[in-house]
Amino acid sequence: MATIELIKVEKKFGDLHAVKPMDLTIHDGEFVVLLGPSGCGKTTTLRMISGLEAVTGGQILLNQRDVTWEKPSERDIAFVFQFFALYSHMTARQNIAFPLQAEGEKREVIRQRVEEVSRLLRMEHVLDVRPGQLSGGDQQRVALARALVRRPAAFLMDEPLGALDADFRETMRAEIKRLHIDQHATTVYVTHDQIEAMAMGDRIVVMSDAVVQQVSTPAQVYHDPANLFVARFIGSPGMNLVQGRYAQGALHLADGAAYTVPDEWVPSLNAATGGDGDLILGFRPEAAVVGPESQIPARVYAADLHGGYTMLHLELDPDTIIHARTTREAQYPINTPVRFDLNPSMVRFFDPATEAAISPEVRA
Amino acid sequence: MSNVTLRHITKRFKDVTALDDVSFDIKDGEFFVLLGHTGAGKTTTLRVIAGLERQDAGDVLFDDEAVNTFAPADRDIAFVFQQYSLYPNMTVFDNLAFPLRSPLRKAPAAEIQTRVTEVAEKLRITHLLDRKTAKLSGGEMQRVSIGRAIVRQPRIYLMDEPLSNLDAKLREALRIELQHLQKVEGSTTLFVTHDQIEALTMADRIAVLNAGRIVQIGTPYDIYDRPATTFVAQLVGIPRINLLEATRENGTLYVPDSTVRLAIPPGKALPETFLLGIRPEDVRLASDGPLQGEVALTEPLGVETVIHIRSGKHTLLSIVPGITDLKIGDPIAFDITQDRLHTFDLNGDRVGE
Amino acid sequence: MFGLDIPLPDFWIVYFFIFWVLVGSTTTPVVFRHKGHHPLLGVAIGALVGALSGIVFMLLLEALEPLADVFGDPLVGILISIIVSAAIILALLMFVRRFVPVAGGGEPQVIETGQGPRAPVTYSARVDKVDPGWQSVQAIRASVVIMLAALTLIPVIWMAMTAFKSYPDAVASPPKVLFDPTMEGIVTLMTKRRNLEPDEIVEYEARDDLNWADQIMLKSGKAIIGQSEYVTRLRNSLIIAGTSTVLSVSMGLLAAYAFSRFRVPGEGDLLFFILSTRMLPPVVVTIPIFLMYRELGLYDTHIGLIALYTAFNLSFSVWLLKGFIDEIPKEYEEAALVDGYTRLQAFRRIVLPEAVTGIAATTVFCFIFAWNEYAFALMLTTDKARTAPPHIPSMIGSGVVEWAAIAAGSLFFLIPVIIVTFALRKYLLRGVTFGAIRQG
Repeated sequence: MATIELIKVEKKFGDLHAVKPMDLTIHDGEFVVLLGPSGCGKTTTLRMISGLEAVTGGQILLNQRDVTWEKPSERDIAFVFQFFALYSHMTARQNIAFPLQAEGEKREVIRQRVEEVSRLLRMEHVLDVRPGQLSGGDQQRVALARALVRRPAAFLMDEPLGALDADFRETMRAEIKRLHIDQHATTVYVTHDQIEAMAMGDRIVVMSDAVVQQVSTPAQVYHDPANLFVARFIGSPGMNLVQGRYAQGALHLADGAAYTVPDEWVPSLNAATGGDGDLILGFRPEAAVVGPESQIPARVYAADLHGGYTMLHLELDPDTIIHARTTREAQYPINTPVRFDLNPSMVRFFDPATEAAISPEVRA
Repeated sequence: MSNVTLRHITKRFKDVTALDDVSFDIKDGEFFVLLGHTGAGKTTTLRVIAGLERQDAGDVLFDDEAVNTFAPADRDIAFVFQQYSLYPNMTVFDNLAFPLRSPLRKAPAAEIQTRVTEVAEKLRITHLLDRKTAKLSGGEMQRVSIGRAIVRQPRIYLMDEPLSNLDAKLREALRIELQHLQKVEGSTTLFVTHDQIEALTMADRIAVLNAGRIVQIGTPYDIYDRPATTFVAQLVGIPRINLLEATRENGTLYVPDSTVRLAIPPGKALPETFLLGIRPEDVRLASDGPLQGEVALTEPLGVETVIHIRSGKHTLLSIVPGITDLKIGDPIAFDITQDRLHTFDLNGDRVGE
Repeated sequence: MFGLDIPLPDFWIVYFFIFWVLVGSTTTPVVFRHKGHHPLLGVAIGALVGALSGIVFMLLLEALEPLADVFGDPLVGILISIIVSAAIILALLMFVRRFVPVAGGGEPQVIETGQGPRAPVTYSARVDKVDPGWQSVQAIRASVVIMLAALTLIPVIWMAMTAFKSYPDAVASPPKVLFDPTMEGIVTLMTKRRNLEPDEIVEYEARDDLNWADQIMLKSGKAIIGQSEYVTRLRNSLIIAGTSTVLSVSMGLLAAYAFSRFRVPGEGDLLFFILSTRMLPPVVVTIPIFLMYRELGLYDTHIGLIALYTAFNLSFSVWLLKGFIDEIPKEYEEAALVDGYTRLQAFRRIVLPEAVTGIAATTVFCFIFAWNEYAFALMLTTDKARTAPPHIPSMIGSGVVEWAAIAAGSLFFLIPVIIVTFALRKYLLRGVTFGAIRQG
């Protein structure tokens, strides 16, 4: 198993910074997810770790060994691709055996390992089928098996569930996670789907525009996003962000309504704004509690069924729509005026200029 | 806008039956979603309605008038493809204007100008009008595709999984916009997708398609609360529904090889063996709960956490709000909401009402 | 050569000199680029050192000649010379690698560890492709390829030189590399001449209204009496090859579109049938076609050859174009159809611009085939419609072989094809993007 360290790793294409210098330490057995929208640099980072892309600067250490300039085949890692990259003229079994054959393993060892891995992934029944005749999920299982069979120090996965149908994705997600727990293998996983990242990751590296925005556990990126990007990106839908003017312990919203800020926030907000300034209030849909005696007025813009719950879209003012999660039982016709409160432990505040989150503690 | 009716449409490709006796109707101004897996026949249905494929049997009617023999151009429909909708070597403006410049319409230049600007404003792409489409991002491209469809004001919009190729976040944003646009314009829309969230949130009514056959048609509530078959039950709902084989004995139902044991709700007539469906939100963790199990896996999603509960040889999925500090291997007690059980016979059809 | 007594024919000396220049100028830019400098600088420096190396090579060859007597084989001396010249170039490469500084004030953020290239890698490359060792290997491979390419071009270059040689130069043995160029061959190619009587020669020499061509011919005792048929033949070639190319490409395009977009009954069989016509060696059917053409009155007509070439090219054209059109997503036309365009309009406005690459590539291939065709042109034409390929060898004739004329004829024959291919070179690149919506 392995620790991976990235020291000031960067990648430029000409003058374009695909990945700005980043530091990252991945501990032994950890499942780290590189998360971000298209073009943020997550795939390039993964490819640099694997050696498929040469770094422009910085160093990559695998188990304290400098592998920055080592060929991909010498790095003892396995790569799982989004579009499987299976050999279509070989059966699944031959595909899985291929890496071991390339390394020159004995035939008996190969056979044993292939059986072991296929039992682990519960795919014995498709071993003698060609990939072209397998479903997407089974094809991805073969790709995973091919990676597992090598027993590498680390697994690198590039959006492996991206090519699968939505319900397959769910099943495979749990399987990969279970595999990881069994094998305790260091894994670096790239995805743009924040649900996947949250469900699977021990830690999530949120990236945007070649820069790392936050590196934390799923709970932390969800409840304490470091900036507006992370707040918006994590969660479906993302965090509600409402701009207002803060003065004397209350946030004044666009249409005149005022939200009394929870007491514990007053000192740090005073410090951040100097007593009077613009702020962005952030809260997740489940933090909003709709009720007749509540503080903030709004109007129902739309209501969607999401299966077990209803998502209400509330219009605070013509430019601001927030999402609130409620139970299915209540009915909310369009344009009904409602009022809602916010769970005081679930509100967050951001500085509109720097986009950074404001810490609840005042630093002296 | 028009209403659309499909009557007994069958379509075969060599030896494969792509559509088998498909019938449904879309009301004027309705947002109708066709939901199913890849290869279920959704795209074929769209193409038959558009006139790009000729059905082997059955009729397509627009406003009760049969359009079977009409060419695509004469059916006055707009099609948004999953990809390759835009002409790469033309600017956004030209792409949007393309339908209006067709020989069928021959709109004068001034009218084209106004229409295109209007649509660009609605979709907030006015700043992109002079750019070549090859230089747009995925979300912008899809917006322009939708713009091309809107600019024509057709009788019906046909959309073939337009959001599938987009990033998760972009998909969300565009989904909400599409919804709003459709409600405001009141346009009859047939939207095809394999993503059940899109179906549940956007649709006025949903038709579930499986291997060329319609399995169930209903509102999102119907599909979610009263799935007609196990297929539909498993198709909608995240995480997916727990489906277990159960037996009836006296007044209790048992799931063999597990700790699940429930009193049968009154009024339910069940065969001796049947399939029991329980949605994860109906599996509640309760310290005084009557059923026992062990935590097999936890998946924190932020707003809620999915808990995989091992009960005997079976695994049940449960969903709990917020973050939990349960760990793998912890023993756990749970309960199941009685009045929200789904029961199906062994063929998969709903039973026991 | 150069007053030196080098034991190799003139031609080989020049070739080896060019060889060393090429080796230097192809390997040095690699190292320069690696360091972040402009590769052209490397080309210039490499060429200079290569020239130096070549000169050393030749001097060594002469100096080591006595060794031939010692070992009984001149090869030893040659080998030593090669080794020394190669060593000079290697020395240059190593010098550049060690002492030339990295461009851009070089502070690459490579933390000082083990190996690694000296220049920051600001392009997309796999790690092992950036390794200097691998790059050197690639440079050597590239040099070898360029050498071989130069080798294969030798006959063409020789032919071009021969076109401007006088007769004695053309037939000299050993072959002359350095010579006095003359327009004699070209004039011979383009004109008909008659021999002059000795008294006519004197008379002609006295005249001062002779143009340059006449004067050249006068030197060999001939007078020009008119234009030869070469120009006509060349023109025939242009007309026939051009028309048949246009026809085969345009008809092939329509057929390819039909095969690609519509469900043609028996499609697989039809396509195979079309391809099978290409499997037939054309020579096998020369006599039947000759008889057929004579019956139809197509013998020695432009239309006859045009029809024949079109027929032969059509199969290839359909196959090639179908492949290109298959790659154009049919959603493009379907979107246009839905919008109210007819298929033909959709074809014209959308498919055609997207298929330009394919059309260009097919045009080049069809043109080259029709242009170079020899057998049928020989069999099916005599006078009116004869094209250039059968004509050029006919100048061999009896008596003196006019080598310069033949070389000039072949040279001019090459030019239109080079022009066509050069003009279409941009379209021959296959990197067409279709604006598909993709993730990340």
